[in-house]
Amino acid sequence: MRSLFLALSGMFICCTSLAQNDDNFLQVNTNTTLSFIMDEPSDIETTQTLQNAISVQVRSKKDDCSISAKLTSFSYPTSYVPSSSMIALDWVSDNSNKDYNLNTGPISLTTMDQTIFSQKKHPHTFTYNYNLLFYPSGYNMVPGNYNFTILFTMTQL
Amino acid sequence: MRFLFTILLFFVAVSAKAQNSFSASVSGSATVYAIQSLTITGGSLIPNFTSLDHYLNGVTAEDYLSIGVKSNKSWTLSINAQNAFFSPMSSGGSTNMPCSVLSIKTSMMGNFLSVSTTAQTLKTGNKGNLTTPGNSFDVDIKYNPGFSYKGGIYTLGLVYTLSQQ
Repeated sequence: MRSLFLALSGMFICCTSLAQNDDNFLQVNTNTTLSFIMDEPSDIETTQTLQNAISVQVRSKKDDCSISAKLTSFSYPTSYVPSSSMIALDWVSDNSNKDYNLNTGPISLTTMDQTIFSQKKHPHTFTYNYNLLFYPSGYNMVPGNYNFTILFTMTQL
Repeated sequence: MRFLFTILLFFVAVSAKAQNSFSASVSGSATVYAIQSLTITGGSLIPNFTSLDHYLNGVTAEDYLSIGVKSNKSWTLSINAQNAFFSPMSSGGSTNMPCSVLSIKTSMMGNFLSVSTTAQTLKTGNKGNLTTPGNSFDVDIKYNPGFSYKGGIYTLGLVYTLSQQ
């Protein structure tokens, strides 16, 4: 029994430290305020882009990993009826030579996880840069505030 | 017994490994203001008074203007004259021809509105772009000065104001 306790205790400490030690690292940086201001016709008639708005830094030392993104919240004025995804990530650049399955096209975010890239195990931290896109729905855009949260998840494979 | 513990430990460890994921999030916003756009095309035609009937009944220019409205709120389009009187472009022209000799209506509307310096509603509509029913329309205009004014070319500024309801 004592050996079981010691073994389980040791494993628990080991697992929880995975998120804390040098083996795994996920950090999302905003390079600009993630704020779209729409006060002219062209603002709601065409896709709005915040250039190089988000950087995702990833390190996975011992296992391959995949990075996914989804919307965890999206609020809008009460009279607005959303018809489709309005937020998208568009890959710009990265300094990784260990990536694969990199989705370079605009990825419309939904409430479901979508893989944006995978990365082979490697001790270095790599950075992936993304434009943030907002797809307005034209003159159906009700005046008011539209707020969103994007969740990035690194899953080790 | 130790063997059993080892198996148990193995399953727990495998399970923990499969759950190994980390997350980070960012938040943002979009602020949308009331946005409206008004386009006016046409209006370059100068009506001619060439017959007695023109002076008796006036001259109507149908589809004188084409107007397009884009708005993300319900809208109102109003019109008013810039000045109370027409301005003669030629010497000796009358300076007392009131703006009310000019009247206007949308091509779908029945009656002409006499123009004044006070804004009057020409049309209302719903939010949408140019393809939204009622957001693209033509305007007819009518001049009926009668016989009281001297011949010549006259001008009058018209102000079209688009506002949200």
